[in-house]
Amino acid sequence: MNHGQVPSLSVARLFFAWLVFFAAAVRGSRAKVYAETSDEELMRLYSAGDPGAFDAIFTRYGGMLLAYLERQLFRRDEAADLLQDVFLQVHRARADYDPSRPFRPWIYTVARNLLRDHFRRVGRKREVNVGEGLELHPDEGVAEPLQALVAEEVRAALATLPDDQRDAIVLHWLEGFSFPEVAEIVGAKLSAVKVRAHRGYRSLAKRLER
Amino acid sequence: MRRQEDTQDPQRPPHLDLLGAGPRPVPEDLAARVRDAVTEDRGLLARLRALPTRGREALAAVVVLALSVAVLLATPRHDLSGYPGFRMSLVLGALAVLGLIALRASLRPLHRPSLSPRRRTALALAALATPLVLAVLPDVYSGAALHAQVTSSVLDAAWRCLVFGVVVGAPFLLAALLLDRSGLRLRPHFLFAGAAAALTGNFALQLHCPITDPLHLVLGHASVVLPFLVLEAFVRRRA
Repeated sequence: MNHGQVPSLSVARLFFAWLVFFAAAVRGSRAKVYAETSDEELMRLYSAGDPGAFDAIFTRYGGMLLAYLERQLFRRDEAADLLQDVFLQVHRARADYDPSRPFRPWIYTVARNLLRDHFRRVGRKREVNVGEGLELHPDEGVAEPLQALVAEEVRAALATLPDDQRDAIVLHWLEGFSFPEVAEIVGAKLSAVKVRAHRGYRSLAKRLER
Repeated sequence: MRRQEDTQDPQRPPHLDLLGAGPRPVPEDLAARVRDAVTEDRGLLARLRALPTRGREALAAVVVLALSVAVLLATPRHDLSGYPGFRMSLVLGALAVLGLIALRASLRPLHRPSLSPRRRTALALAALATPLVLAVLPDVYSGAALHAQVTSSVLDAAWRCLVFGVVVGAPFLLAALLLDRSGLRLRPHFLFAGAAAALTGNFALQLHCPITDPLHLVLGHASVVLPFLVLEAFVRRRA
């Protein structure tokens, strides 16, 4: 046995362990940095070629957008496909992003445009039938059968609204955007968006009263 | 009524809470799919599509310009020097402006709100009607003498021009297909790319064909849009 090899092996192992530790520490610190970075800055970093920033954006927005798409599509598989399209489009449009503009309405505009195109292609008719193909998510907290039934009615009633009224209601009351932000996403005037929300509210209330 | 709706904050619709709020957990396989899709989006095509929108529009405009210059150099109309400059500018200007608007609509990025249905319809109708209107404008110049030299049959001449216009317009459609970030999968994008291609074909025909007979212009020039409309309908049906 060559005793001279023992120290060099140990040094190599130590060095390797240090490398692993260093990489983990760098990754951890980067993850922490990303977590504290604004959406706009993350998108700027991604446009500049930092792939980690995209992961951070996905972590932040993936679940939010999946919920938005599921609430409108009622089908989890279609929502998943559209989510993939949304992030692919964000990736392709990274050079267009202006960091001085808020990112959240920007990415929701992408999602809404893809959603509308999806509806244009497949139509909305199947959604109107209550209970047909409906999947309630376990996190929704609709444990009671009666509540579940009402939730289905609300979904079906929402699906019958014209696109513009439905957009105003969903984006404002479910996604939490202010009316000016909704106006920016749908490309309409603030007053027009409020009128759509008013009318949508009335139609929805009338339908649910029946 | 509308004034009241404008000023008041709308009430919250009933039972919306039942639909659930907040994010959904993203399954790991879906997250992996998204990352794979983004990672695999590389190569020349991906780089073209990732260009800023201004760059993509400029490239598409260069394609139109190159096609027009090629037609002007290879097969210019025989009466180019004698044709009234004002009418030529009017026709080319109208087709160019409308073509540019259609081009921009076809490459419109998804992070901008989509055009309203009213604007979409107006643009589609304008793209359809403008070549027709230009075809039936009162004649300011008689190209009829040239008609007999070019061909003996109205239908034959119209057919040749129709094919010429479609052949010149098709490369633009291909360019739009490469430059659009959704590969023209979105319906309005394909429609407007087809309209821009047809207007490119009309632009080229104006530089190529000396016949000024309105019937020929309607059958051979304005109808260039029809094959593109048929293609759009076919693609839409298959999607």
